Amino acid sequence: MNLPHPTRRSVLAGGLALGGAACWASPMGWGVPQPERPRLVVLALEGGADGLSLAPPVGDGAYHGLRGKLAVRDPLRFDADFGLHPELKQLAGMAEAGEVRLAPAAASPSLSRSHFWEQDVLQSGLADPKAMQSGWLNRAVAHMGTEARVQAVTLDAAAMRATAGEVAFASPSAGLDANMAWRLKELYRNEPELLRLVEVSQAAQELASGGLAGVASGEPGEVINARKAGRLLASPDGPSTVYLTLGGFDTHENQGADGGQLAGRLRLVDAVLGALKTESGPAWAQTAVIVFTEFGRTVRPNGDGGTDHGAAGTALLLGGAVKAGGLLGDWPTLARLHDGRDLRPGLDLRSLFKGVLHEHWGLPKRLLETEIFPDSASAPLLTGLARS
Amino acid sequence: MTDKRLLGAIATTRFGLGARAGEIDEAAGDPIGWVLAQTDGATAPRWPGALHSSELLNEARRIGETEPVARLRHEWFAVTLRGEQAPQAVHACTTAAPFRERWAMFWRNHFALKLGASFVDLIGTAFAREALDPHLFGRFEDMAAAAARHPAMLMSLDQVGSVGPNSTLGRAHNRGLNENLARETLELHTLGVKGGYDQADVTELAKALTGWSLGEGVMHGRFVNDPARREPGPRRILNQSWPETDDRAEQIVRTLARKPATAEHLAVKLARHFVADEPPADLVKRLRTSFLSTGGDLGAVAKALVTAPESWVREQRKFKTPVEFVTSVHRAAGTLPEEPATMLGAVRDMGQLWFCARTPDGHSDGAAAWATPQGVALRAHYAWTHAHKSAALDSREFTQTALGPLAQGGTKATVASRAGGDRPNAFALVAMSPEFQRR
Repeated sequence: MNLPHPTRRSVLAGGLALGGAACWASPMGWGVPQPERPRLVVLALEGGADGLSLAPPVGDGAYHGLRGKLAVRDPLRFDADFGLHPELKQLAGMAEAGEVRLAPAAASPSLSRSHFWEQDVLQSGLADPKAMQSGWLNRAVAHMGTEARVQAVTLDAAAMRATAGEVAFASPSAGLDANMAWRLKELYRNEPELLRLVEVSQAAQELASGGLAGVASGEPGEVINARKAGRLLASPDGPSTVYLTLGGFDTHENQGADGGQLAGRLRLVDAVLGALKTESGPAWAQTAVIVFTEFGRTVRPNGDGGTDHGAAGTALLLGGAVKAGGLLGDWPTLARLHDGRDLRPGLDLRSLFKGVLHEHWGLPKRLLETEIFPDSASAPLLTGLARS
Repeated sequence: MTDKRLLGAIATTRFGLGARAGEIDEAAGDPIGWVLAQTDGATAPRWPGALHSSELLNEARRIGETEPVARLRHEWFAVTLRGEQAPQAVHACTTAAPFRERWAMFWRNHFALKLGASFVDLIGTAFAREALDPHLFGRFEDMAAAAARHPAMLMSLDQVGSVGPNSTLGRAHNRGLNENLARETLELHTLGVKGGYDQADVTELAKALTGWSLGEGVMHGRFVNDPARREPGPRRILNQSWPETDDRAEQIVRTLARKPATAEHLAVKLARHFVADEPPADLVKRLRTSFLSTGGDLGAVAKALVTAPESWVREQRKFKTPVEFVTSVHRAAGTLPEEPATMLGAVRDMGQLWFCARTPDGHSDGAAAWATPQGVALRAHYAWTHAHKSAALDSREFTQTALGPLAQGGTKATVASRAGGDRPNAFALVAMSPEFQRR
């Protein structure tokens, strides 16, 4: 049976192969706290979030005419050319503090308008997502060379493609208490692969019970998960990576504008991002958050007060570790549209992913081009994103 | 005697859904015969009162006239959950023909319906009843054709909106192709991703499939073959020409279903599902040969699988899926949860959906997807929670029921020393043992 788990040797070998590139990843013992480690949160907005409402291009003369009643009337300020949806109040505050970078026309390389295909491409990091079973985030974590007890955390029930692979992503929502873990370890004493799963699961539970007590209930589950994620990032021996998802963005009908259906989902996005910042405390300074979606939506409304699957959408990079600066990628304008209906791409999302892993985590370019994002030469990595 | 019991234990776990009390001994007399007897159609379960998919879709339309979509989904889900999904989950835990159920589960996953595409997840049980179950041990091409044209599949893979650009309807409304069903028919259902087709074949098949859609009015919720949507002209697929005829699309699907690449694709998937993540080459060859020499007779393929020596090695090389784990716990304990629907919720928390999948390629069949930290934790929680609700079982007796000769010395020692007189504890420890987690 081939189970995904990094042996101590393979982790060390990975660290050695990197040479001095990941200088913070010293060959420390199992579970030694790393309070200064760089943290990465990846938040996937599933269903294809409408970027033209998330960050309306108020400086583009064609916006109101093309969008009609879906145009956001009263946006918050992002910069001279772009606003933020009025529900994104905490995000606007972070933007004012110089902690938010906007990619207004980010896209996958394939532009298939298929949820299934695009999610697979963007989570696998592969032009052909069938070529390997693992996800880019998992491959990246595997190369970080850390021996933290819990390297990476997911707060999703299902094993997501992005987190599939060699590294066991822990789930603090479903951990093992010491009592159960003790009995299972005895059962698995001759089963190193199962034993490793129990150890990660127990560590996740300890992290959760040490840092998650008193997380407010009564909030939506997504916000509670974000609070948990923030606490884990704050913990000195917590994970370096958290993967989160937020669904409900496939707004084919009754999308709304300043208020309505999509506004409700964006309020949740704002609450999630705010909770991450608040709960991570001082660790926010070492944190970068990538927010992306599988595609943007049609520029014009459809016949149902909604929008259909489109091409480019909006991505965000935010956090205390993010460098202030201009737009990520180009703004192709609304003057000419892809297939006459969709926003044209101004940035390959892989350029953003690669840039963050290089500058924030110190993964070498060669590794990013070969193992983490093979076949991505057409998407050069972005620079000037993060303080390492 | 010991050898026979071991083969009985392998039969009930590798080909069944985990042993019920006495099942290992029942299978031990003639392990191969015990499995193959279940391929007899007479043991097929019946679901009295189950609605036809067209009735379900009409019912949905009726509710939808007065209720918003979210409310409709909620109500309908409750109806199908109580009416059919929960009873089918119970059936898996109690059936005396567990190989038949496993075989049916395999084909449901092969022709997986995508969660969230219209209402396909809610008619998943009807899809299996109408398109798959009649052909479980019949010809694969019959199953493939029935699955491809079933309303659930047409909705799941967006065929309903696909229109030939030069058809009557396409010209009048400037409509075009949706190649989703064509691509997945080639890639997932027949030839496989390396099956030797290219984009031109996908486009040609998509054109050939135009016309297949769902009816309106009195035909609401039913398959129609609408000439007004059909792209005119001959088609060329895998170097074979197809003049335009009414039944051309179905004949093409049937032809694809008989191809050697399809035989290879299915042989690898079956060997991987039943025997090992890295399937033995000899077994794959046997299954492929059986498929091709019988014109795709799934009964013959099942027999080839069950009689192959590679299928009876003692080593357990598969990690149970959540459905297999939960089902086997209840079969071993001889109990059911107070509310059977909780089983569906438990496997969903573990990442598996009982009657559909998140993507049309179905759930993973490999240990990597299921042997995760949260997977092990959720299984342990399920085992202990259920153990405390179970009938008082003697730990030694329970170990014999669940594992028989598959029980390892280490597990028996741990159960003896750690469970003491605590029966729920003993139950949970056996359920979490490596030999119970695998099959």
